[in-house]
Amino acid sequence: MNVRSVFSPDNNNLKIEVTGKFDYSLLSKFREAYSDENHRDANITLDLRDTTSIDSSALGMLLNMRRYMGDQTDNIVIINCNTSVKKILMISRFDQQFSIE
Amino acid sequence: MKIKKNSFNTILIVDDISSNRVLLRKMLTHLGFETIEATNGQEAIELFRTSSPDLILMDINMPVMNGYEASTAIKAMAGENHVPIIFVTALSANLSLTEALQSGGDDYVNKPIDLRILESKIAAHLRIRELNQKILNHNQELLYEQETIEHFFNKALSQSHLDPRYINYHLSPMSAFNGDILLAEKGPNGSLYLMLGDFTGHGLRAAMGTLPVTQTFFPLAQQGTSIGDIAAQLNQQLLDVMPVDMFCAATLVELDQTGKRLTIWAGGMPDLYWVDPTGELKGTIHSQHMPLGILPDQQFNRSSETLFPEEGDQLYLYSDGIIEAGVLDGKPYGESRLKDQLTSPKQNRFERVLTDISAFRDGREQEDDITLVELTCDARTAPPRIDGTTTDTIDSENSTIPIS
Repeated sequence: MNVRSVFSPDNNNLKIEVTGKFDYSLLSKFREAYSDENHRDANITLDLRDTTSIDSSALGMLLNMRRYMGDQTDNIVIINCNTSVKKILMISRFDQQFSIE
Repeated sequence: MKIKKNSFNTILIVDDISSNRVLLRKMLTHLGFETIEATNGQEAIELFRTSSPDLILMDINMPVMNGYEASTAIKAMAGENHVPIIFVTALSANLSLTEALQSGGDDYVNKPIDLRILESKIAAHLRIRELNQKILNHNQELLYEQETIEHFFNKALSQSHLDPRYINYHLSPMSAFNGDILLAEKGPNGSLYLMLGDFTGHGLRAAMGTLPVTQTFFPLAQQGTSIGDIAAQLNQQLLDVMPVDMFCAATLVELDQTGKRLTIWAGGMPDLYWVDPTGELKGTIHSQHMPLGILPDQQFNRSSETLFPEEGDQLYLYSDGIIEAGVLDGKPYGESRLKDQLTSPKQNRFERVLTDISAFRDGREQEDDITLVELTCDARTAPPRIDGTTTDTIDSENSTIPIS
């Protein structure tokens, strides 16, 4: 379980990758990954390629991130979800609040 | 290293030779401790029982009962209360030292005693004891708090009319507090309101939302409010009181008095199954909405779904803890196995599912709160009176939800 974040060279895009189980144990690491006062205007791409599972605490963490980024629907994109992760996002209709690709 | 002069620290000296006891007594008094004395293991046990010393200095070879036996007995009596035992020994063979520590001793000092070493070891062991006492006190306090909080939850949930003629339910929280919530109430026109909610996470944090939800749900159901409007009000209330990263996946159901109309609002919950008495699946109801406590009121969608069941049809509701139960080789119990069980033509589906889940889990630890509910669509047998109360005689007051 880990979180990695990389800014694009122009600092406009922040890519966050979560590996393994995405749950409450990543609470502070995940928050650190996007909390950067200098880059509040950046777009976030959350790459869940290596995320094996996701729980409701993680959904809560996504809502926290969204609040931090100004409660918009177009500046956070979630990509590369596996079937079970996508299913959980869809059951909770997170597609209404995040762009899920 | 200085020992805080603390008259509350009493040290029990155990030695059969008087001159040894006198020497230790003088040293310890000099260091500021109270002392009590025993001349053999048996006496030491008695004094431990009556005087509760903070630390014991124990000789090994003594008549009646030796130091090893006394240590083992005292440690057993002390239980979680950590009372350090330091052996005072002229023996230097490793074997007897091993035996001393295995019998329950915590440390040893060699004879002849070096005052500074004795002082340091006593100080070190009293620090450990102090930590232990702190933990024990905290635990006491936590238990007391937990009892009080349980009282609040039990009271809040005790209103629930989980009438056993229509509602079969199984709640299995993974800890003392349940993050799943199951509420039922009678509407003024004889309809039955049911809510199954699943708060983010588990334990006390998740269970906190129970209190505001009960305060909103019961009065609204009693007034006969529509399911969609109840959902909207719960949503607003949770939005007001919960932290951003918490929400409540929920299914709200109203079964009208005839038992022939089901209205459902579902947000963030796994599929519901509508099954006839023979086990035939008549419908799968998907959650249409986001969980409660996320969307602002103006974006909240209160639209509900209506089903028209026949007498004896059943609706199954559950929290995701059930499909994620008992992960084995990366595979949980799963939705399809649950669906198979719930649409089996055999009798007693509800009990069969619970047995099947427990067989699958095979003793493996539960990772989330688990709830399963079976709602049977029968007409209410007691028609409502003009004043809105019913003539129900079955005492459903007792079917409250256990918290633990």
